[in-house]
Amino acid sequence: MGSKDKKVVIAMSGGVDSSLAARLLVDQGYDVMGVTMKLWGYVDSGGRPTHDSNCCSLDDINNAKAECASLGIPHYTLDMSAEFKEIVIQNFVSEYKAGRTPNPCIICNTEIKWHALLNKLDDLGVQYLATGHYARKVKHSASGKWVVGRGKDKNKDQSYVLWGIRPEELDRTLFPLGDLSKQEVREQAAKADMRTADTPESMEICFVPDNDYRHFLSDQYPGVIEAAPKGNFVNSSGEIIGEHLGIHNYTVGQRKGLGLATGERIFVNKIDVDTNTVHVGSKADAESTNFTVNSCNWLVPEAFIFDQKLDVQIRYNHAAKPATVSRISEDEVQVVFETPENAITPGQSAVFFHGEAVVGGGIIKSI
Amino acid sequence: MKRSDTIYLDHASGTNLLPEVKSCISGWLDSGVANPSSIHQDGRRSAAGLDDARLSIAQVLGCKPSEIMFTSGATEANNLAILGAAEALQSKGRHVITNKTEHPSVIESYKSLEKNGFQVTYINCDENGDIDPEDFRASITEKTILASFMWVNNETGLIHPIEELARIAHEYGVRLHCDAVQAFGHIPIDLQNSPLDSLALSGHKLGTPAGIGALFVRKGHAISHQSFGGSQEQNVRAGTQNHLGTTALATAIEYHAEHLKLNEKKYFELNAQLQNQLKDLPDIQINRNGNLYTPNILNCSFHNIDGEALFIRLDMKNIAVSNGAACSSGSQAPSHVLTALGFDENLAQASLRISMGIETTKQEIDDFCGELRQIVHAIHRETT
Repeated sequence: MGSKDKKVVIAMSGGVDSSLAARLLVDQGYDVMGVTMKLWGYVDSGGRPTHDSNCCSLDDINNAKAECASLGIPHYTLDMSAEFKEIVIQNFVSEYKAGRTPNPCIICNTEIKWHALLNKLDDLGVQYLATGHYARKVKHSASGKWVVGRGKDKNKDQSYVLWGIRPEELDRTLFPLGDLSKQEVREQAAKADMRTADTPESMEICFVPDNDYRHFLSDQYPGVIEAAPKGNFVNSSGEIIGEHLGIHNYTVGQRKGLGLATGERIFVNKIDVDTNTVHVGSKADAESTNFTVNSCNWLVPEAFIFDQKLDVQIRYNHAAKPATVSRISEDEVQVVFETPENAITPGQSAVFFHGEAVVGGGIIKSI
Repeated sequence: MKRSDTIYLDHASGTNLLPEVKSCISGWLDSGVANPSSIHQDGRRSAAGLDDARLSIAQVLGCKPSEIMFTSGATEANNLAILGAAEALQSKGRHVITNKTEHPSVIESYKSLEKNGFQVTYINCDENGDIDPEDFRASITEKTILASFMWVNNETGLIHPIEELARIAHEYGVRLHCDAVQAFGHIPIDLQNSPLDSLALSGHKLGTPAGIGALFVRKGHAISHQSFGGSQEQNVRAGTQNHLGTTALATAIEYHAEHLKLNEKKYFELNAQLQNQLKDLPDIQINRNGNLYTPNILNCSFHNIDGEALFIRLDMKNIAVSNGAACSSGSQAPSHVLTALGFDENLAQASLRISMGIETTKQEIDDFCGELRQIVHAIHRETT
C-alpha cells in the first residue's frame, strides 16, 4: 500500500498492542497521530487506582503519550466520556434491567471506537483509523467484499468483538497487528525497548471494578438492583424450587451463587423478564439449537448470508459452530445450529463467519 | 529566540527565557552556585546574589526587601498566602471569601480551608467575569478574616478593581491577598501606594525558567509557615533557596518594569489586529466587553464547532494557543472560568486563549489568523 502522506489515527489504550501498532504504522510510512479516548473515570466507579486494571487512567494516557513522543508523533486525549456514558453505560444498565447479559466492549467498539471516533476524524481531516486489535481486513472471496477476518493468532483473535463495524467504516480501518501473534507483538515491543512491552493483559470490562458488575450497578445506579423484585426459580418440570434475588443477578449458564440446594449441578438456562422467573435445570436443559438475533450488521450482501452454511460464534470464548441463518423480519433473524449448544445467552453477540471472514453479526434476542 | 516553525501564542502559560535572564543565569553557572545559607565564601557569594535579587525586586515593586519571600512559583505563593493567613488569623473568625474565576492554586487552597472547617464564600461574577465590589461588601461578615482576588484573569485578561476591593476589605479589617501573576508586566504595581496586603508573582510567565515565584506580604501581617525545615525566607518558607531562580526573577522583573509602556503599546496594536482579522469568522464571539483588559490576551469562542477538533487542527499546523488551564492528562476540560461566566460546556471547549509575548510579531498574528480562518471554515457546522 502506498502509505506516504496518508493520515492515520491510532487509537491507543496505553498498552503494548496499540503502542506497537503505532510503531508499525510509523515504520510503514504513514503520517500517524496517537489518540487516547477518555471514556470513564475508573476511580469514580469504585476502582482502586493502585490495585486494579485501570482503563483510562493517567498512567495509561501517559504511557500512550510517551510511546508517541518516542516515535516523534503527536498524541491527543479525546474526552468521549459523555458519549460513552450515554451509549455504552446506558445500554449496559438497561440490558441488565431487562434480564440480558450485555457485552459492553462490542457496543463500545461499534459506537464509540469506530462510529464516534470516525466522526471526530472527519473534523480532523483524517481518513484512516487504526487499532491494536488482533483481527485482519480480508476479502470475502464469495462476495468480493472487504470484511473483518480472524487474526492470525487464534488465541488472541478479536474479530468476534468487531462485527458491528459498518462497511463504510471498515473501508477506513487498518489493523496493523492482524498478522502477528501476541508473542511476536511482545517480542517486537521488547526489541524496540518500548516502555509498554510488559504491560499486563486487560481482561475485565474497563469500567467495572473487580469484574463485579453487581457492585458497579448498585454503586453507580442505585435502585436498579435494589428495586428489582424477587421472584421464583423454576425447574425443568415447572416446579418452583426457590426464590431469586432479582433477575439481573443471574446470567444464562451461571452455576455458582444461586443458593439452591438440589443435590445436583444446576444451571440457569433461561431468564423470563415478563414473569420475573429464573428457569434452572441440568446442563443438558440449557442446551438448544435455535435462537433469534436482532440489531444486525451485514458486511456482505444478504444473499451470501441467508440459508448459507455459516459458522456462528455466540460468545467471546466460544468456538464457532455450523449453523444456518434465515430471515424472520426486517430486523430479526433465526439461527439454527446443527447440534445443540450450551448457554446461548440473550444480550451476547452472535457473529456469523464464512470461514475466516466475519460476514455479519447481531445481538442474541431470545432462545 | 523564535521557536522554530511554531506560531507560539501561549505566552501566558509560559514564555521563552529573556535574553537578559539567560546571560544572568549563565554568568552564575560559570562562576559556580552554592547554598546561600552556607557559611563559606561561596555560600556568602550566593547569599549576596540572593539579597541583591530581593532588593531589586523590592525596589521595582515599592516595598521592603523583608516583605518579599521567594517560593517555587505562584502556586506555592498563593497556597502560602491563603493557608498561612487563614491559620494565623483564625482566632478572629473562620470565614474567607474568594471568586469563582480564580486560578486553581487559589480555588483549591480555599477548598482545603473548607475541608478544615472554614466557611468559604465564592462570589459570583457577571457574564464578563466582573466582580461587583458591592457583592463583595455584602458577603463580608463579622467572622471574615481573608479575601483573595486575582488582579487580571489568566484566561480572559479581564482586570479586576483590585484596589477598590482591598479598600472595602480594610473597612472591615479583612486581609486581602492578590494573585498578580497576569498583572505584572502589564499594569504598573506600586505597593507603597497600594492597599494590597499580599501579592503573588510567577517567574516563568515573565521569562525565567519555571520553578521560581515570589510572595509579597506587607510588614506586620502574620503568616503561618506551611513548610517545615530551616528558617530560610523570613522564617516562613523553609527550604534551600533557589538562588539561580531568584536572580533570574529579579532580572525579568526589572526588564518588564522598564519596558512596560513600550510592550503594552505593541500588545494593543497586535490585539487590535487580531480582533480586526478575526471578527468576521463564522459564529465567533470575542470574549471582551469594554476596555478593562490587558492587551496581551484575547479570548474568543466559536459556536457550532467541536473544541477538541479545533485544538488538534491548530496543533497539526504547529500553532500553540490554549484553552484555559492545561490538564495533566492532556485532555481538555471545559474552562472553569468560562463556565463561571455562564458558557455551556461546548462553547467553553471551543474557546481559545490567545496570549502574546514580547517576541510576537504582526506577521505571526497574520499567519495565525489565516490558518485559524481555514480551520474554522473546515469544521464549522452550519446550523439550520
